Amino acid sequence: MTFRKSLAIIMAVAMVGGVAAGCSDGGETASTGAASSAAASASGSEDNADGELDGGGVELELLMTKPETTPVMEEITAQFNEEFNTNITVSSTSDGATVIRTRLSANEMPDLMNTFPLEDFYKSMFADGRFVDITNQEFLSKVSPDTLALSEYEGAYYAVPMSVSTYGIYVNNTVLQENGIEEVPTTWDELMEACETLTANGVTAFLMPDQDVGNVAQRFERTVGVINNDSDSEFQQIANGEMAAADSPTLNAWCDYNDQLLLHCNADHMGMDYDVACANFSNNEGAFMLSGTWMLSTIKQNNPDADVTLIAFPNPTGGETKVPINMDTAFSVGETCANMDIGLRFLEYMTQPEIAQKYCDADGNVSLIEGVEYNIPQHQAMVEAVDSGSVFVTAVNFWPTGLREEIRASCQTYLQDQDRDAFLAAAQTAIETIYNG
Amino acid sequence: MKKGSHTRAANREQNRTFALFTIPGFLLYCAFFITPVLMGIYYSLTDWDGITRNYNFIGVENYGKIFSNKQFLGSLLFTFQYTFFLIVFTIVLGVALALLLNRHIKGLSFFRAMYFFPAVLSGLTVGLIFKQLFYHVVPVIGQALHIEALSQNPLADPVLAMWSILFVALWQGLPIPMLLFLAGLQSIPTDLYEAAALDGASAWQRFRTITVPFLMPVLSVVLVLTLKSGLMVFDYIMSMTEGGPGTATQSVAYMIYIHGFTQNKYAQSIAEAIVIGIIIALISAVQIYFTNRKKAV
Repeated sequence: MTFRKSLAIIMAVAMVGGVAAGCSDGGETASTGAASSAAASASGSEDNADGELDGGGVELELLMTKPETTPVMEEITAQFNEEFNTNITVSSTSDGATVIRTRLSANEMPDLMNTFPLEDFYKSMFADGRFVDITNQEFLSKVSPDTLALSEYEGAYYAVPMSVSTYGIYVNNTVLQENGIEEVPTTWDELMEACETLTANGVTAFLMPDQDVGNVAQRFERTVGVINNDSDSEFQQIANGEMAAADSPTLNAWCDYNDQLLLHCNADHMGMDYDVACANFSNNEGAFMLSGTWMLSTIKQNNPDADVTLIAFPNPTGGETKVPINMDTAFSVGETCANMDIGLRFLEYMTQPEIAQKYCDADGNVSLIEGVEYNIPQHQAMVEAVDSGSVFVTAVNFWPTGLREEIRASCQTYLQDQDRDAFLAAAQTAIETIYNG
Repeated sequence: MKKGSHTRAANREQNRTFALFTIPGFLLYCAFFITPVLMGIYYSLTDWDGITRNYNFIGVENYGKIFSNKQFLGSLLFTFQYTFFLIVFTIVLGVALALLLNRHIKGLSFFRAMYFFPAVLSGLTVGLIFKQLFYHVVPVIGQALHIEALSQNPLADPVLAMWSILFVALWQGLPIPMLLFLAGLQSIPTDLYEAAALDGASAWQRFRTITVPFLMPVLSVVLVLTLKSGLMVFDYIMSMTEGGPGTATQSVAYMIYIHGFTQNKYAQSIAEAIVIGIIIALISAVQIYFTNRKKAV
């Protein structure tokens, strides 16, 4: 074999290797987690003379995958550090799933982190023993019992839930008033009537950030849930061949309402991302925007004087309107936490009413901790919906993992071309791919 | 005879020394390269989801799924198309810029520094900056000049989105190939050009018969680098379009990321990475073979 041929082969192997290596280190340490968990249970803390827990300056990491709440968590952890002689630092990411997967692969789980206990991704980690079982912890009694039960996983608790998010339509009251719309719409017909008035006045009624495929996916998932609270059953029928996606009432209703909204949305909707849409909405450049309670903090950052209200997304089919809720912030202790006593104490600390109140005021979501007052006037309609039980747990918690991501490109394409046949065909493939593996 | 055996002994001694010097590098290569590759191949034969510690051995099932998946074929098509144009424009513009900067013009150092500047920025940062420019600036220019295609964010158009990404990739990716071409141009003996000019060769003939053959070794390197960066394009896609609109700009690397990190198909995404790696290797081997045959030195 000539040198040149040898060189070509070596280079070919190197090329293959370069690509494969990029994905391979994921599993390298995946099987070593169990061993390290035992070591993690060793506690370096002790009670001080007053009987209070003394962390002895232990360093722990709190990973927040909700970057909008990082400032308040930094305040809370600073307070905790001072009280318990610890050194908890907050790290933050907006791409939680990627960061957590990477850290799982490297067996570098954070000591503490916020989790979303209803989501499949976190349930897999609960099943795998990545988090500490907190079923017997006293502080769980401070959580609203009905909602606490939702976060149970196979008879145990691995996270203390702090809040639920609700999803609906943010209304910019200033824009409505400027256009002579005195009443906030409550039904689909009223909403369309308001949109027509706004469009006739040359005002953008709906801000739709359709370049942001993640936002499109979320809107699809939440509003499909409003149309049909049990969309999972219908999708299972599609996957089983008992129904064609083309005949799906839910998917067709989703197309119908979007056809109507697209008549009243921003002209550059396919080029606008979520941040720009949120900034425009905050600055009175649009009347309505679909989003959840978490958006309020961003609206306030953009325009502290913005006069906004979150209302329920009215069922466009004329059926009963229910508000989608999702378990939002919850806190868990990692199996490899450097100090279990401190980790559990931190969870207990977060459930203290004054701390939970502080978090709730900054976060904007409805708190689940008893004794916390919900002082956010913009979200009163949502609180009333939660109190009256007119809510449902959003579909992402029932759909198999990955459906939202598999179908989102087709949804985005539909919002661009309104080719219903193509969308329904793509939805059929996506549902079959995910449900049938 | 005795002299021959001494020579062989000396050669053996020399080979042993070479081998000893090679061992540390070889061990490092095995530890940080070969082992992860082998582990990658192993995991591609499982149903590991990237989260749990348990998984099952499923043979080549993941590989079977790849080619029956329309999404993979669509991503592959986009990636090849993007790579083809990236290579063509990188070579044409890289050589053109290098030829310009190889002349004795005023402010040469300034221009060289300016052209090189984008190379020091990260792809993700550049992508995010251009995403804002495409949304806020391009439509204003398009409307002012009455160019309908540019009157909206080009990233929102399924056809223009690829060209927009390509533009950004070239804006940032051209400096290194340009410098390599410049170095190649400066290594060409000037007397060859003088002799050719005396023989009556035109500028095009001089370029084709002197410049191009001497640039072949550089061209080979640039081709491999551009090919790899084109076939593995990820950061521009991630920062500017997330594969959209629809799947218009979904590259293979981005699809691998989506499968691995959002759909719990970690093992399948490794299988996809291996397949695309083999494809890159085959194309690179063919390309190296041909460029080696044509080079002048």
